[in-house]
Amino acid sequence: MTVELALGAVALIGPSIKACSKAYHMYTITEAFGQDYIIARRKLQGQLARLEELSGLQLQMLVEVPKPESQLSDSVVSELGSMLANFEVCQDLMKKYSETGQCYTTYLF
Amino acid sequence: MLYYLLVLIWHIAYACLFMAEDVAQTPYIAMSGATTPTLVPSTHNGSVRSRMSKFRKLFSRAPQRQTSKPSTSPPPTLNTQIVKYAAQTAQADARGLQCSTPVNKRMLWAIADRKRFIQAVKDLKESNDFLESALRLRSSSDSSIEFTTSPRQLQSEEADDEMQRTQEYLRILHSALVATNSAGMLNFGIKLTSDHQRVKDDINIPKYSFTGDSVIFVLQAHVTCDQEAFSRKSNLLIAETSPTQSVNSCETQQLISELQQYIAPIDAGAGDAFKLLGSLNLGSTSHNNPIVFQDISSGWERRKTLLEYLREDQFADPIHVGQRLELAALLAVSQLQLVTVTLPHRIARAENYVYYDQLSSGSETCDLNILDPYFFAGFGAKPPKQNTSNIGRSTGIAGRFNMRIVGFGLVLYQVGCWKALDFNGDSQLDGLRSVVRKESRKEQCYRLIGLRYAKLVQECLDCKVVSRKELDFLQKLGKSLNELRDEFYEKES
Repeated sequence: MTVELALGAVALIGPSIKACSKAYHMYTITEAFGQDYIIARRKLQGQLARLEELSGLQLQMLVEVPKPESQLSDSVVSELGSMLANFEVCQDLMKKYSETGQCYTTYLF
Repeated sequence: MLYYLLVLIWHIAYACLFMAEDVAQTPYIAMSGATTPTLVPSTHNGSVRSRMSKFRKLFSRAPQRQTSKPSTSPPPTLNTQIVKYAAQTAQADARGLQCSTPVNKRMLWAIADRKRFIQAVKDLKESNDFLESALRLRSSSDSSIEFTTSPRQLQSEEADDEMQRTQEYLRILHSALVATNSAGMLNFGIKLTSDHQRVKDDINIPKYSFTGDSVIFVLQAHVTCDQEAFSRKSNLLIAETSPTQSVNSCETQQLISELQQYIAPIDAGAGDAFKLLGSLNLGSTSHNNPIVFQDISSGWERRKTLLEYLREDQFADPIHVGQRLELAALLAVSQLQLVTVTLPHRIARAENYVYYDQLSSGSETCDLNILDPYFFAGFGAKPPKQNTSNIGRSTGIAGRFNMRIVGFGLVLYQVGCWKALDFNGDSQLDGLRSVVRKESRKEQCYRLIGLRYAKLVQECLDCKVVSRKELDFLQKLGKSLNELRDEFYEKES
C-alpha cells in the first residue's frame, strides 16, 4: 500500500513539475518581453532588408516574364505569396505590440 | 490530484492577474463585491492597491529608474561608437517596452504570439534563401541576369574582359596624349563606340596591319583657339593601343613631340588616306606606346553638338525612339569605358557630345544620324586646377550625391524626353537635379520611351555611390539600357 502511494505520488509529481517548469518558462518570457520582442523585430527587419536587396529588377525578371517551360517562376511567385502572408502576420503582431499601433512592413507590398 | 490542484492555482493566478491589471489601468474603479464596478474614492481602495502591487511584484519587475538616459544627440561617427550607441538604444528601447506594455499583453506574447512571430520570421528566412538560390540558378543559365553578392566579386568575376581591356588601353592613350600635349594646345574628342573590334575591321590603312590584340580609338583633334573652346575644323586621328608595340621611333618621336604642327593643315588630295604620325611616348621604360595615324584624305567639320540637336524637334518624333534608346545605351557604355580617364574631374553634359561631317561629303546625307558622337571631356588633357577657395567648405547636396552620375542622368533624361536643359555651370546641377527629378516622375515625359527607362534615369539622379563603386553602377546601367534597346528592336521586328 505504501509503495503504491509512493508510486502514485511520483506519477503525479512528474507532470506537475513539468507544468511548473512550463509555467516558469512562460513567466521568464513574460519578464523578458522587451528584449525578446526587440530581437524578433530585428530579425524581421533583417529579412526585410534581404528581400529589398533581392527585389527590384532581378525579381521582376523572374516574375513578370515567366517562361512557360520553366517551373522556377511559378515557384518564385508562390514563395512570394507565402512571404506576403508571413509579413502580414508579423505586421499584425507588431501593430498589436507597438505603442502607437504603427506597422513597419506595409510599404513593401 | 496534485497536478489538477496546481493547474487550478495557475488559472486562478492568471485570472487574478488580469483583474489586477484592469484595476491598475483604472485606479478609481474598484471591485466592491458587487457584480458591477462602482466608483469609490482612491483612498478607500488600499486593499486593492496592495493586492495589485503584490501581483506586480510577483509577475513583473518594478519599473527601474534609469540611471543613465540614452543620449538624444545624433550618433557619433566612429564605427565602434555607432555600434555601442545602437546597443544602448536597443537596451533602452527594451526597458521602455517592458515597462510600457501591460502584463496581459506580455503574457499573451509569452503564450502564443512569440511562437507565431518567430515561426513567421523563420519562414521568411527560408523564403529569402530560396529566392537567392533561384536567382543564382537563373543567373547561371541566363546571362542577362546578374547576381551580385558583393561589388568586388562582380568586378573580378563578371566584368567583361573586353571592357576592362578597353578601359586600360584608353587610360594608356590618355596618359600618352597628356604627356605629348603638355602645353594644352590640343583638344581631343573620342568617338563613342561599343564595338572597337568593328572599328578595327572597318579602317584599312595601306601597308600597315594592326596588331591582333590592340584596340583602335578614333579621335578628333582641334587646335585650341583663344576665342573658342575648339575650332570648327579638326583632324581625324586613329590611335592604336597595344600592350607590346614597338615602332622604330627615331623619326616619329620628333614628329609627335610637336604634334600640333601636324594637326592644323589638311593635306587634301594626298594619295594615301592615312599618314603615320608616330608613336606617343609614355616613357623610356614603357613598351606600350600608342601609335597615331592622321586621316589626310579629307577634312572634318563640326556639324552640331547633342545639345543643339536636343533643341530641335527632329528626333522627338516617335519613329526615332529606337535611335534614342540606342544613343542612350551607347552613351552609357562609353561612359563606362571612359570612367577611369575623364570622369574623375568632369561631369558629362549634352554639349560635350559633338558630331562631325567630312568636308568632302555633303552634310545632308548623314544629318539624321545621331549615333556617331565624339565625346569631349578633357580627354588627352590635364585635369583643370581646382578652386582652392572651396577646400574645407561644406559640399552640401553635391557632397551627398555622386554628381558625375547625376550629370550623366541628366543627359539620359534629355535624350529620353528629347528636350534640352540649359544650364551654365556645374553649380546649377543641384537645383536642376531636384527639378528634373520631380519632372521625370510624370509618365508623359516617357510615354514613348517607357517607364523602365524612367526608372533608370531616377536611379542616376538619386545615385549616392562612392567613386570606387561607379564602375559597378555604370556597368549595370549599360546592361539595362542595352536590354531595353534589344527589347525595343525585338518588338519592332
